[in-house]
Amino acid sequence: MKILSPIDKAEEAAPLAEAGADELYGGYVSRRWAKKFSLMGSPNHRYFPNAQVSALSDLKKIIRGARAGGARFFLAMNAPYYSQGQYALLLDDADDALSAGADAIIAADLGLILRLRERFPKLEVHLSTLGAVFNSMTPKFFRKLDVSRFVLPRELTVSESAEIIGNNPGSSFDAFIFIGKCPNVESFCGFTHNNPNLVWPCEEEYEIRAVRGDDRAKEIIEAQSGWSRINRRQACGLCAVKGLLDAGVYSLKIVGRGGPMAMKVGSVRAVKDALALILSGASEKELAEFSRKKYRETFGADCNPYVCYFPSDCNWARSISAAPNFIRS
Amino acid sequence: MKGNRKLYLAYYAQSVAAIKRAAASIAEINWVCDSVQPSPAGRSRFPLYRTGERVIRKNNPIRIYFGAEFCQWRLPSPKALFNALAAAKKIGSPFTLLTPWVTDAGIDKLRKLFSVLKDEAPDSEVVINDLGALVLLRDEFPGLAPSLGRVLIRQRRCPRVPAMMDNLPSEGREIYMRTGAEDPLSARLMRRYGIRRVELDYPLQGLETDLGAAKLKASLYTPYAFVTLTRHCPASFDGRTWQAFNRSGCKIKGCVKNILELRNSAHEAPLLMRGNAQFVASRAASGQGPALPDGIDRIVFMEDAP
Repeated sequence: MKILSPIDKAEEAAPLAEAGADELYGGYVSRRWAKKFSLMGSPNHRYFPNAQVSALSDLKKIIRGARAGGARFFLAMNAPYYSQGQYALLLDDADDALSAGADAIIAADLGLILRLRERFPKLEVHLSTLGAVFNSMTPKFFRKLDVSRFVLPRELTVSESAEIIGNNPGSSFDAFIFIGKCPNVESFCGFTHNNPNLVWPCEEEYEIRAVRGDDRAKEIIEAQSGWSRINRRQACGLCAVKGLLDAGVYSLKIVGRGGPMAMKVGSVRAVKDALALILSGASEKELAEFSRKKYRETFGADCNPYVCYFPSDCNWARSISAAPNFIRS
Repeated sequence: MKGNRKLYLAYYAQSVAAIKRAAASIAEINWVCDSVQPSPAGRSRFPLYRTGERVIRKNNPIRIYFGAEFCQWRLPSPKALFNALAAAKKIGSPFTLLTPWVTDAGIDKLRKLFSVLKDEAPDSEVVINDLGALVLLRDEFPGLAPSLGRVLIRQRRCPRVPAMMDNLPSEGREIYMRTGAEDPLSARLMRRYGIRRVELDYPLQGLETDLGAAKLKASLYTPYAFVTLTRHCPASFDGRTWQAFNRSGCKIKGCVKNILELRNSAHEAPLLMRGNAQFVASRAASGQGPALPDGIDRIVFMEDAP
């Protein structure tokens, strides 16, 4: 099982590889793209500068660094869709990245995948989580386009993931494991993510009232309000590593493009340690104890259902009351 | 385009009873359409565009939309679908089944519903919001006509967008005004799956889509534009986890009885949340919108947030 980590800067490559990342991914907004479309027209679904490589020379350094550390590099080009005027430049930027040694492109838009296939017939294309693989039939649609690696959505249970993987032999699947949970389904979310404070509409505070309701309205409002009281970035699925390994997940994906290097490296180490624990023969109970301890060390708080990647699989989450009384840290 | 556009009407029914009530609602829609003018404030629950476009009603019965776009646990049972089809038939309406994104459990549910449709109303449309469901439809029910739903059609619908439009370069604006449905290359692939129609929203910042090159027709939903959805459905939260994740389904009933309004000063309009999905009320529906883009030939009216 591989570990797939975000990377934003060349100096991160060596520490990430050393910590245990087998694969790295990042976003690149060329100067010509930024000038024409601005970062709000980002080609890779991240709309803030820290999450972008902005010079081709830097992208080349990242790829060289990844290679030196024995890791592969994937370029994210996973905007939900593009305008007709964007495709030509997108393909030119892909060409530059591939010439620099990028191993694959992570894409979501059907138009881009079709054009990548035309221009780079042998290119390894991964379907982004925005491709919405929620069932065993969806990969069959993309297999016809020679896409054989899929990033599963954040909202699948371990058993649903296992069912999809089992029904699609010959394909590889990535599962999210650490950092960056989304309250909403990213594939279908129409919110913008460009607030300079990096607080997105799914987590900001609202004045919520029931314009129509029954006796459950208060608890529904409370459940929805929980997202503004927690830090959804502090997400974790380490307890599920054994289940995901058994399910046949190919790579464990860490979120966090644009985050500090220390957090990226710490995340890779946490996932690497959890994986090593299971491979050494530890029980799921031992893994759960390790995971909760690791969570506390990393984030300075206890985990809870809102930040759990697999809340319906977690026996411990079931045993506690969520009592969403969390403080954003 | 103004004047001679043909706009057909569809009624988004949220229950079998709503279809049965549709006759009265349709009469009201009729009044608005026949007036070919914006409806006076308070006169109608179905404010129409102010474009003066001719709406085709005579000899074209209003189409019924029925089903679930956002949550597989809200899909009707086969029996309820059977009853809905009978009710639509009684008022002479063609039928469109709305379907959501689905897990494998949802695929099983869809297979049963498509079987009912194939047997009882084989000329029906199916709004598809999951590419796996599209594969299922093409492979096992090729006679049913799919339309790509608004969950799958990418549009920038966030209520924060209008405030940022002035800061975008002209070429950057385009992505916020257009839709993911226009690409002719993607549309060519989709035609192999039987797609001839797409379902669109009218976002707060407006819509400038051009479906000519893609050779697609479009339906436009009003007044509620879809913004986002979640599997962490607050109505399914039981204090520990979200029942919407259960393979056997969500046992908490009555999620749609509650409609929340979420207000934030940075948003152009409040969000409305019903069940697991959030919406904004479309500006176009208030009669303030510009002429509709070419390719749109159907208006889908919602009495309520879906």
